[in-house]
Amino acid sequence: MTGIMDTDTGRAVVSVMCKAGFEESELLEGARLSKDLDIDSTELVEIVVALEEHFDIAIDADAESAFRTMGDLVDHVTRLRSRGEPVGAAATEG
Amino acid sequence: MSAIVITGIGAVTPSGIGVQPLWEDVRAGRSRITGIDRFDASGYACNAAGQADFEARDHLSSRFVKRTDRFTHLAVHATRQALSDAGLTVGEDVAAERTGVMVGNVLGGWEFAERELRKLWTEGPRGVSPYQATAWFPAAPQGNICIDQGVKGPARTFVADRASGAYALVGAADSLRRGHADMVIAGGVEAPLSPYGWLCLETSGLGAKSRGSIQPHELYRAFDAGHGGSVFAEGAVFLVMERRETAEARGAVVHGELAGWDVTTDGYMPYYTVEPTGEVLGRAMRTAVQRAGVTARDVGAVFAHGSGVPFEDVTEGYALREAFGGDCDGMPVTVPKTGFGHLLGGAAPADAALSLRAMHEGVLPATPNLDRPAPGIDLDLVRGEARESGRWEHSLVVSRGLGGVNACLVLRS
Repeated sequence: MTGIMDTDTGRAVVSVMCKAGFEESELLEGARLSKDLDIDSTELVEIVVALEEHFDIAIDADAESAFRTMGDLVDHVTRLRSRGEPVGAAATEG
Repeated sequence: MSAIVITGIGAVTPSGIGVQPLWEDVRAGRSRITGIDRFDASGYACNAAGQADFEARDHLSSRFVKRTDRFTHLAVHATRQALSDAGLTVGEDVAAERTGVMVGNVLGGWEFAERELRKLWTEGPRGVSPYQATAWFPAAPQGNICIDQGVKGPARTFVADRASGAYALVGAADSLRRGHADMVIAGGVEAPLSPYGWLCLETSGLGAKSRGSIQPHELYRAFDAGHGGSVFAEGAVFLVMERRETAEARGAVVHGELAGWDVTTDGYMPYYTVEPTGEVLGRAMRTAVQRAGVTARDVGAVFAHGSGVPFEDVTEGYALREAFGGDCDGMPVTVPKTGFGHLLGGAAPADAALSLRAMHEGVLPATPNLDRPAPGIDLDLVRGEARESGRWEHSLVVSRGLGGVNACLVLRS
């Protein structure tokens, strides 16, 4: 079974979070952001802003509370990317 | 009243990690003041400092380091050292609710803050780290020590210019005596080596000015005729303090006692000067000695504030005369910080720790760069070589700051 962490987006999210001081080995699909990774609201802001800049996406603040695990986070970024690509392409052409 | 004893000491200073390297430098009269290489200080009046060779990521997790300023790194590491020296684990050997933290600091965490403020003005609010608010403020080391050690008792940060660290030790003693805590981690920290932090020290008028012919390590000249201000340094010194019966009940090694203290205030205009007669500072010195239950003749050494600011040096001499009169003639006065730099918030805790080592080893460290005493300073200044004087039992630590804050401590060996 290929997990969502093995996708391009999954690997990129892990890379962004490693730059924020995390160890790659702890960023597993089922790892809970709050309980397992000790991410508080301030650190979540840091991660969300870093992901937004890296992927050129906008993550709705309301969606943040729905991220329970690493898998949720990667899944959300994946969906935003697939939705955002045509817009990004149009903007680039314009 | 219970005696307040010191059972653990931790330090990160320009001499290295721990009190031992600091003591060895001080005892040998070795200077740790160098030209600044942390940032480009060529445009500043003073380009000499005491820099601590401390790489935070070697000792602390990168997720902790990214959200905190250097002053927190220094403080958290020094605190871990102090607790390890005391053989204490918070929550196991002493209840978290009965453990306190008292911290002295002057400037706050500017290395972190000024980097983020630069982003604010160049990139806008979204460019600023979400940790800015909690990394910068002076109580950040206190909060992070509490989190790191799981402390849940009384915790406070004292901001009283260069007397901040002495206030923290007094705060700890008060807290222990009133029964608010059974153990208090107390000390001070400063990390002034960033472009803005250094500028604040320059505009304070307290810093020495670099001069072409004088080497960085020769610039800080407390009580010397060539005195022209302090050379500042970064570092943290923390003590573990307990009531004597608590310490003895657990079989702790006691390094010494904080036997007496006093604080007085003599704010004076213009603001950057001090009260010219030394009378009020002298009262703090005298009262601290009285509270220790001894007399001036029992004081074997004075670890003076010795800022090197001419009017502060002279009035400190007046204050000692005011407090102890003719007994000053047999009272050696030294300023070992001249060799490693003025640690600001950490200065008085460093002197307290050094005085305990000096008394234990019976060696009076000298004041580096004190070649020719300044006129008007009539004291038994320890200069040249350290004096092998044999053990003594009481040392006075003098600390003072702008706005007239005076805090004096008496340490008993």
